[in-house]
Amino acid sequence: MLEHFAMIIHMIWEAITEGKLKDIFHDQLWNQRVAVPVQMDLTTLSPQTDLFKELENSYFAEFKLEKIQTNDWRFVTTSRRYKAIRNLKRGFRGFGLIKDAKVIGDIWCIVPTQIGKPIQHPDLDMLGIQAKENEVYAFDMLIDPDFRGKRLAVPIQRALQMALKADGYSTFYGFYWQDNLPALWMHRMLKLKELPKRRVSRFFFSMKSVSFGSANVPASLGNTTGKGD
Amino acid sequence: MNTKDVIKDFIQTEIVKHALDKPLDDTDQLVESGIVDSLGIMSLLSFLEERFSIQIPSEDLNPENFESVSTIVALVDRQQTH
Repeated sequence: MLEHFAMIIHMIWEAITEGKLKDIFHDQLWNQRVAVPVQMDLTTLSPQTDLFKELENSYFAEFKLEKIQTNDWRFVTTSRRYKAIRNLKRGFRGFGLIKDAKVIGDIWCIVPTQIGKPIQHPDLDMLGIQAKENEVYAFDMLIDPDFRGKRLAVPIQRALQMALKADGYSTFYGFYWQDNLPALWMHRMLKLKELPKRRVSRFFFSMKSVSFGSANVPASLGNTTGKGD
Repeated sequence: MNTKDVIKDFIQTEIVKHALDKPLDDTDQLVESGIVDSLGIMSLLSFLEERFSIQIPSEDLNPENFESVSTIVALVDRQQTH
């Protein structure tokens, strides 16, 4: 709880100092925004090595609470560090691309905590996804602004998928907002299967989500494998 | 300039922004080489829609349609005939 409040306070302060206070409210108020749920069959994922070979002194690792609390890994912002601590305490799993002890990209996921107990997350209700046993949901990827445009988003997602596959999970879910072109592009580079879209309206804690149409999947995205990239 | 040359010129001057080893070829792999990435696609899409007065639907925003100058020209042609 303490981390949550610390995160909120730092987020607001960072938004004020960066002149992005408007963005915080934008994240709480949507009208008919289109979300595109995506899915991947992890069992068909082809092994890939050297995903980050172009980035010297870097490695991809799962976050450990102790290492974050002792500042072994530095985050791009203070709020992100508190969010990481909060997420880990909530039982989420987080992974980061770390270069010279700095987290330059991180991504989060929720995995089943008990055998036979599917994951639960508010996003899944919004996306109309009913996860089954052994399925995982990934969310909230952030890349250090200094490292954007260096083609790290796709390898970070792929590294996460490979880690989850290695842990025996079968299906990977995520989503992107259709109006977020870089996110759309990243997901299509990953060749994830697109599920029926959702129209989402949100007013702070109140949210309404409606499925519309069928999955509008480009022919090239009909498969759910990670092959081809 | 024809469609192909206009697109080549834009990619060269606005996305690559530096001299290439050789002139951009019609079949050079733009996605695989990283020339068209998640940021490059934003400027390229804006340019194509404005320059050719077309609307490219999200279903057509996939790597296959942007993998080379030739496939981009084909995409523009298809949208112009709609």
